[in-house]
Amino acid sequence: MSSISKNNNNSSVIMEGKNLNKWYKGIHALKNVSFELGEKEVVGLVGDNGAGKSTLIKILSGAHRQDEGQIFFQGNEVSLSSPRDSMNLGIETIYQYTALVPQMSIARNIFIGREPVLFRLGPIAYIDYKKMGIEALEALRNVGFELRSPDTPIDELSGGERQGVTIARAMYFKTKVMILDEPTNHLSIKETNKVLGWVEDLKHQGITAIFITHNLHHVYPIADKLIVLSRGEKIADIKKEDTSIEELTNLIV
Amino acid sequence: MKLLLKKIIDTPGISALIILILILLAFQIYTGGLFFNPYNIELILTIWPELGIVVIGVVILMIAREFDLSVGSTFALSPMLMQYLFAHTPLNPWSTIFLGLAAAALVGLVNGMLTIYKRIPSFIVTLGMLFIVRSIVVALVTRHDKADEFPMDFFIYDFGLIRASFIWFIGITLILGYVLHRTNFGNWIYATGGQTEAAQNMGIPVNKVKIGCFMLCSVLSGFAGIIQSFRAGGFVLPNLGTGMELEVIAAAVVGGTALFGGYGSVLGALVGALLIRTIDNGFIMSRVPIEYFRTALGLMIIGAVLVNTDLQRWAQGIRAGNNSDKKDT
Repeated sequence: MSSISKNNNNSSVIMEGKNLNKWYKGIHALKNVSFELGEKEVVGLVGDNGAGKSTLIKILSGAHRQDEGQIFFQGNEVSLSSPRDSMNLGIETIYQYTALVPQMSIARNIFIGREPVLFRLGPIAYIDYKKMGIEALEALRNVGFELRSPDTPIDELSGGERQGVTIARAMYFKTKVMILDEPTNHLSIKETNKVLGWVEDLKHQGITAIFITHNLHHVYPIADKLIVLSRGEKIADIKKEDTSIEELTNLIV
Repeated sequence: MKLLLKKIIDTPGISALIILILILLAFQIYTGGLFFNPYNIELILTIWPELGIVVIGVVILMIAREFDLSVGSTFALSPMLMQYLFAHTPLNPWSTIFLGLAAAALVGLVNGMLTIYKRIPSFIVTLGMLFIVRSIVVALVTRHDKADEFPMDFFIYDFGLIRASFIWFIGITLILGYVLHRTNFGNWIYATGGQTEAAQNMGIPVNKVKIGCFMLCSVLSGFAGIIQSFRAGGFVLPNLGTGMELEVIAAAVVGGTALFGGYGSVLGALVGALLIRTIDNGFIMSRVPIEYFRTALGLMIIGAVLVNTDLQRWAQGIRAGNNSDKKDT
């Protein structure tokens, strides 16, 4: 297995991982992985099944903790012990199947866990429904997604529309780093292009995106940088202009 | 117009309400107008809260995607412990009521902890608890002749058409209805039951939410048990609430609650509980032969759920049509 690594002297780094290691029941799922994410960058994280992509994003999203290694966010070392920690820093993860609650409305989904509050009685807060509905529509409009009613349940939306809702949510909450887990999986070509368009727009909104996929052809056109994992190791970390689809495909396979 | 109709039917509990009204009308016609006489209405308004309070707890727990089969035993535990403590300790009645409810909360806590931290399905945990708690109830059987020292009026005072328990029922309904449908905690319950991982990924403390629901369900059961025991003059039989676990699940399901979490409403709980209670009562009034009573009850439960699902599927049909116009915009 060959390994390529060309330094990218990127402007400013928003997030950095150093020597990250993770074991699951004796399996070394992530082996000494280090990486840097630049501001307003779309990073493609590619690799075959079992390459360690989901382990890495679980660590960055606070769902799991690394066993060794450090994470830096905007220059400071951070400890991410829960999804809430990551969200508070502005790291938002959109999981492939479990980003939304299908039975609940769009508005409720956008504001899960961050409901606008009218008043509070101890730990229980009365939701400001009017505000929630208006802001939900506004958030959707910002990603160019016109909907009549924020009360539509998620299970009435198509796969692409659901990605739209999650992206709208992340943008609304001023996310700095958005991690997208296979956002184009199982989507039609038309919808895939729409989602790719949204991800490209993130850059213009000042958001860094990590786009996880096993389909290089989806991420290649919009990525600035590609990180390739294989069996828990980082085998490539390269700017798009320094590589080609053919070179990367050979690496992954 | 069609959209409005869809919206109405989409609201969990509404189709059950329609079914309820139809059944009530059928009973009224079938009994030749006897069903809606003041005595019968009074009876229904007395027994409805005692089941309804439990069903609200069970529905909220089911929305969070868990079951509680031990509600019938907890229903007996609170009043039995209350009587036991009153007879054998110098505690005053109010303290014994409080401790009875605290014991119920403890049952809910154990149910929740075992389900969440030991990962045993709640169906199994609470089935075990059904037996454990019932045997504690039997062990605590108490007889004393000071039952009238309890502040019974506060819970069951007879105003004529309604009793105090009905007012408690309305209060609990309003509070929990608001909590479930209008607060962040309610939102978290739906999210936890609808898609636990999504809720977790959004930083919701799903374990605490579920344990809270288990405890709420148990305390409501205990409270309803205390009310029923007071209505029986303060006496608690060791078989109080036996078989209730199935009645409440029937009521919850008839009221439109999903068995797999994320869908249901307090309104549905009310309607479901009333349906189960009036079906009982209506059959007796309609002189259904006793041999076929349970057949009729079973048919009615399955039928109500069938009509409910059909109505919802129909509403979904409207929704599908809607979606296809929207896709091109």
